[in-house]
Amino acid sequence: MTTLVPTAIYTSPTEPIEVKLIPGVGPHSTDGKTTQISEIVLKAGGEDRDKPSAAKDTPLGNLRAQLTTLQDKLNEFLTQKMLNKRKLEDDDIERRILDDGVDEDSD
Amino acid sequence: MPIILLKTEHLLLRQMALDHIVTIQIPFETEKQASIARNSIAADPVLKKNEISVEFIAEGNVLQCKFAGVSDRVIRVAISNCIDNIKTVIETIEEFDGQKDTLFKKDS
Amino acid sequence: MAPIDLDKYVRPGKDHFLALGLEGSANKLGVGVIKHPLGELTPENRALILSNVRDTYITPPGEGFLPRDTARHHRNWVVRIIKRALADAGVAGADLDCICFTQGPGMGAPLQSVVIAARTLAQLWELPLVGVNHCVGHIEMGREITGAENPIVLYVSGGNTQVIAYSNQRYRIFGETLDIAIGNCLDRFARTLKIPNEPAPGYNIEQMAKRGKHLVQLPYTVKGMDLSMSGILGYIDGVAKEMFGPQQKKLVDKETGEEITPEDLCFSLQETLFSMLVEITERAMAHVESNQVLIVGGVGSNERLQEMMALMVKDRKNGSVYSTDERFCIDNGIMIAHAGLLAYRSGQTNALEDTVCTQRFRTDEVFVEWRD
Repeated sequence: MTTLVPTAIYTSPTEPIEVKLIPGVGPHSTDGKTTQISEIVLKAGGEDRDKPSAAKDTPLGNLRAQLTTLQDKLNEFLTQKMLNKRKLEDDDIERRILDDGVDEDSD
Repeated sequence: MPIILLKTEHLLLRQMALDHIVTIQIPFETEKQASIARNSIAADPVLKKNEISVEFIAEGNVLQCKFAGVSDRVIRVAISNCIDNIKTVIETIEEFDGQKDTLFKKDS
Repeated sequence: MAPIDLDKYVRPGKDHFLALGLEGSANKLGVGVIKHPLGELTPENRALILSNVRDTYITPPGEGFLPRDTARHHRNWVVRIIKRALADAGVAGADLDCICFTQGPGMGAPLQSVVIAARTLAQLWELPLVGVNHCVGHIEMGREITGAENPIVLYVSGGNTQVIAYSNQRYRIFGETLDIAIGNCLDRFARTLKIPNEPAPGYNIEQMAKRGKHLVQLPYTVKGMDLSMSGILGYIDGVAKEMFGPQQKKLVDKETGEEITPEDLCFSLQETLFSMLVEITERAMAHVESNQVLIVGGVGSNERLQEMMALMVKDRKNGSVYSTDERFCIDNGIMIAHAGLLAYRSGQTNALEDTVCTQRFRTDEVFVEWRD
């Protein structure tokens, strides 16, 4: 059976060398970690009756499952990047507060 | 004062750069499927055009989606939503491609 | 009489048209298949409903439906529901003339998750797409089911409250809500009382209202042809919170001295809101000299509303109220298939780039080419 494997490549100012994301060895499922129902619903006592249909063991079925894994990896990767950036910004703010005024005149 | 102004401008320019880039490659079974997928997702306009640009290309049997945005946050939302849509496209193709003459059975 | 030839686009050798309709503008995902015989639709030559499948996204008590989770519901069910609707109808893709979808108004993300499937299926089966205004879907389905020819339409749902009259190939809005929709008002009060959302919050309010006896005075806010409901909701929410919150304040009926119950509050809210609707509907009827009222939309299945409307038209010569049951007044795919097929038979189709859904899509924007 043909395997259809989705891939993704990331670059940014902090990551000038390409970062490649792949679904990996699996197992893969259509029920992604980052595409669950909102926390709010679960906390209010709701249940998730709307899971995606399971992937069939066909090239397109496997593609849908692998793409779900890739979506999870992208979401987790980008979320981590956001957290790192926030930390950098916080450090930056801290530095600016501590070195108040110095930065302003240095150019 | 002029120095501060220059700094602000510099900051704005830096923020506007669409330099957070993700390119996704999705192979389909056929060229036609890739082109259908492209047409289904490319019809919707991109919101916040000054923060993100999106490009969909079907080349051979591969759908390529390129997201270039001002931040990781901006591209993350767009990418996840787009993949959600592509998964709907894939499921639709899987169930209905080549089934135009099929009479579906109840509860199958 | 239809002003145009509705059979111009019939396929060679066919004596009918068939359309698939997809609806997902709010928390219901609906798919249906409709059949139109050739010729103008009349009481003797009616549309035939071949299937009408619906799945509702239900939230826990006290919670409304978020666009994100609603879109997720539609996305994860849409292929299965399409398959079921085709199976129920006993129809193959090759038999269809077009695929109709709700283009708006409604919630953006849920609308988009459904149109994606519609676009893909249309390309796979090489069928034209027809974008449908959700409100026009309700109106046309209501007319077809009830046989009301040229009624004043009261469109009452979770997202819309409009009094509509047809003239010159447009459904014109006579009066409407200035703030929230009536269904939204009832649903939000249901959330305040933590009434279950199953099968529908408005339905549960209606059942409780039947047991209410005492009318609590609420603001009454008709403004010309329009009405406002957010103030009423704010007021009754306040009363409920005093009664059932930490204050546990007791409220008594002035005449009987009996304690006011949650049932009384549901009753009072319904009576007030429905009186306002009756008033503006009556005014619209007088204005266009019509004696028919057609009630469509989810709140249209409320029996008390139907009853109050019937009392009003009783005084008019040949006055009549038309309404449909929950299969048709609650959002569904068949009404989208039906209105879409009327548009298709008039020559209206949407190219792919013209299938973008929009949250705002006014009823009077639609050119009703199929009517006189």
